[in-house]
Amino acid sequence: MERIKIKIKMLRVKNLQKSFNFNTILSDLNLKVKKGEIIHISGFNGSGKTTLLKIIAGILSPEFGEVLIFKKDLLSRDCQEKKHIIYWGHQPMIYPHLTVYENINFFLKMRNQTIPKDIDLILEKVNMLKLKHNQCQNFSQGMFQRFNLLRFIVADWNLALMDEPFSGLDIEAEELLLQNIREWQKKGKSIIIVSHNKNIIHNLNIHKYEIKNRNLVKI
Amino acid sequence: MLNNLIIKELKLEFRTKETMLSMFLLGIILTFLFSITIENINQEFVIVYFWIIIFMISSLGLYRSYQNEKNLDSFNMMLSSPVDPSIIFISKVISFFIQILIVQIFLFPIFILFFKLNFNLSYGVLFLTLATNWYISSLGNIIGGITLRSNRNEMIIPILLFPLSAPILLAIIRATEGIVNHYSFYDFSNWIFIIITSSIVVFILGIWAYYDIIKE
Repeated sequence: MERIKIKIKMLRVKNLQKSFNFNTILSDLNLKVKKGEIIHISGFNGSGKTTLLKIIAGILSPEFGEVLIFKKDLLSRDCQEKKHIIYWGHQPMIYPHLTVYENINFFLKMRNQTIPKDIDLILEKVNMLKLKHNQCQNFSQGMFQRFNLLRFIVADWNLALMDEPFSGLDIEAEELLLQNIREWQKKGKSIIIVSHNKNIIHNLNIHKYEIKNRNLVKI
Repeated sequence: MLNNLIIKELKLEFRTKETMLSMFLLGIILTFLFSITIENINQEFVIVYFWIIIFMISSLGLYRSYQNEKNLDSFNMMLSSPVDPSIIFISKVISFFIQILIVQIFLFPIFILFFKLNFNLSYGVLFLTLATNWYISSLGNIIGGITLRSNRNEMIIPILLFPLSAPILLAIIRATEGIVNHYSFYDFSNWIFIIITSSIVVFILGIWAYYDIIKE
């Protein structure tokens, strides 16, 4: 039964191409992600790692290619399938003049989800309970990263896209994130991680890819 | 979903008051400057000045509104959510419409005072003002969406907003003039038709095209 579950294809990226100012970043890129898989993507700065994640998240549009999640087109105008995906970007993607609680509530409402009853416990877990009603405008990079972790814990998703999730996190938060990644994998959730921190990633059960010559190469 | 987006927009604005306050202050400064530099002004020119001021402060307000979305990449959070971009556009149009209206409510008495006008606000003028505000908000948010990926949005918004608003500016001036001076309705009905049609067309265009506009 477990084997059948693992074979379920979650994400399929087909013949993806993306250029910026006539400079091709990604060309004819293909990727398959199965349920419960963790994919680590490495590559030089500017090789297109973030671009790939942003296309899958629906933030950027490719020139050519398809992105399918559970066989449904993610690039369509009103794609309800985006609810399966969650994105951890370089920026925290929050409104600085809303409080932590208001930001998380708004984020969940955008995904047609409601705030969990045990939100205070989760906030305590990520060490943000004291900041629940504080506006986010004076947060440090580390606090923004903790907020991202909070979003990932409270939201319901199947595929996580994490762009440098460990940068700016202290050791305690880093360990908490790793622990959560392992739990998510056990629950059959898939994760694509872009990270230069190979020491941390090394501890996870992952498939390694590298972007070379505008394409993904399995290492 | 639409409610949540409008509440978010208004909550952010009422909490910081950045956009409305800067629009209101610029409006007062422009009103003051126009009123002291021009003497013996007739009513037609006053209407022109009023609407030029409204268009100018609107471009400032739109710039602030989209700058807030660019800070900390907040807009990308909405893009990566399962929300139809048309809903985002409608929410932005409604919230900016409310903001312009509030600024106008406070600015209009000051305008009357500075220009020493004897102006009776009729339902007709009120209706035209609302329709023009809707046009400014719809067009402004389309242009704001275009500038979302640009680093020059403080320049691009007024550069695009003013020329594209020129026909409406002319129409609102002529129609207001007709109402205030009690001309026959048929003398200025064409201008009213232009305002209403443009407001509807630009709004529908925004709903239809916003997805393609905001995508990079």
